[in-house]
Amino acid sequence: MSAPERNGAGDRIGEQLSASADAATQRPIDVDAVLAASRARRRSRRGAILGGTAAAAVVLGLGGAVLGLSLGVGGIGVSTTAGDGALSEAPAADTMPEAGSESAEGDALGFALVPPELANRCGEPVTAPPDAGAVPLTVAVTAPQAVEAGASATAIVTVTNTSDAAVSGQIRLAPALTVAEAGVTVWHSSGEADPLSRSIELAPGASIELTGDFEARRCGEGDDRRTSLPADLPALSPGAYGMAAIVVFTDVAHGGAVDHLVSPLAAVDVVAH
Amino acid sequence: MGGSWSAVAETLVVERGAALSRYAYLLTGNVDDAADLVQDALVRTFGQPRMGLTLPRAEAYVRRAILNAVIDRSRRNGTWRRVRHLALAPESVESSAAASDERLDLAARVRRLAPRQAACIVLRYYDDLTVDAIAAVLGISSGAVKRYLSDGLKALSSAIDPAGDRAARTGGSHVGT
Repeated sequence: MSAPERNGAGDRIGEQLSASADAATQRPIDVDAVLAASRARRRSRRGAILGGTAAAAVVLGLGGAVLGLSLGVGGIGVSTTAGDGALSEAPAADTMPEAGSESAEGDALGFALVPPELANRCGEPVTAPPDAGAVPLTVAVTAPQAVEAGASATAIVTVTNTSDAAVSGQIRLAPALTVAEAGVTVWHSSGEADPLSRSIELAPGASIELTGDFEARRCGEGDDRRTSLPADLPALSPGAYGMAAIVVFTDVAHGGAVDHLVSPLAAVDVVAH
Repeated sequence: MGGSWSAVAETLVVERGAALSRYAYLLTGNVDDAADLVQDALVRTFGQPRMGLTLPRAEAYVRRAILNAVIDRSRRNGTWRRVRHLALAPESVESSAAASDERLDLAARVRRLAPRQAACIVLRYYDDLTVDAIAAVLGISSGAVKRYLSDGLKALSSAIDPAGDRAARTGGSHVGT
């Protein structure tokens, strides 16, 4: 790799950068303002863990046209639906890897996975969605009616703007999916190594559909202390389960706040192979 | 470090606030922008629960948040950058006589680099971090850090060494770790 040593030209760079920084009088940091804003943001984040309503019904109710966007990125699909064609999306060039501001959070917990895949850990209760109407975007997941034990299947996740104003921001294309039994996580997705996000603008009533794959397998405590769940997890026993989705949305208009939009559980039956 | 997140935040501001402000200043070139970036980055870092948040880890979060903000800003300004040469008069000819001019010239050149290149240059040569430490702070691989440093230094070569162009072409030496 070609570059000067630290003690060669690098020293001159260091000296000049140092002199440049010294020449400017830095504004002091207002620690009280930082603490106050952080507290406010923590409160707002608690309120911003959002839940969805029956989005499939919402989308059907809109009766809108499917604008027909399919990105086909690593098995992730997305399509958009809008009542008045009022949904706009950024060009494909705007698709880019997620900034990953929380990428070290999982590591801080001793887990290789990161949020939102860590939101519902194996063997722990599923995150409850907030009250409907608390925030403009709601999320709902539609799972296949029945999935064979041990098999993989695709779920549709619908994000709907239920507010009266347009909502714009960045949405991660891969939703985090969770399978639950009696409200306890028995499987969750492991996320993408390089998750893609996309700019969206949702008009009131408009929605966007994402897709994600899941497996009818059972994980246990500790299985998610790796970069992905083990491949040899046992199949789920036939029976009734629930499925939830978490969608990562970055609210560009409000300082880039990252929200994890949580859906309520949708029913999914696991049948014998 | 134990204690609550607010204690970590206060300690970080007291002990490392100046260093963070300088880092942001070297990336932006504007004292007010730098202060706003640091403030926002601190709020982003401490505005959400993070278990096991130590002082070094918090500082890494903040530095990464500052860089992400600079990258976002760079993307937003991208269109203007591509066309501004059509609207602005050429910059004045650089003088190599005065040390201050040289200093300002180099700092300005660093800011014109791609944000990640600039961050790697600042962390390596101003904050004196190793390649591995930079990788940890920015959440990227050591190989990527070396590449950013190499590319950044090539771009800066004419400002730091009259023979820099030749060194860049012939490979120069290597990035110390």
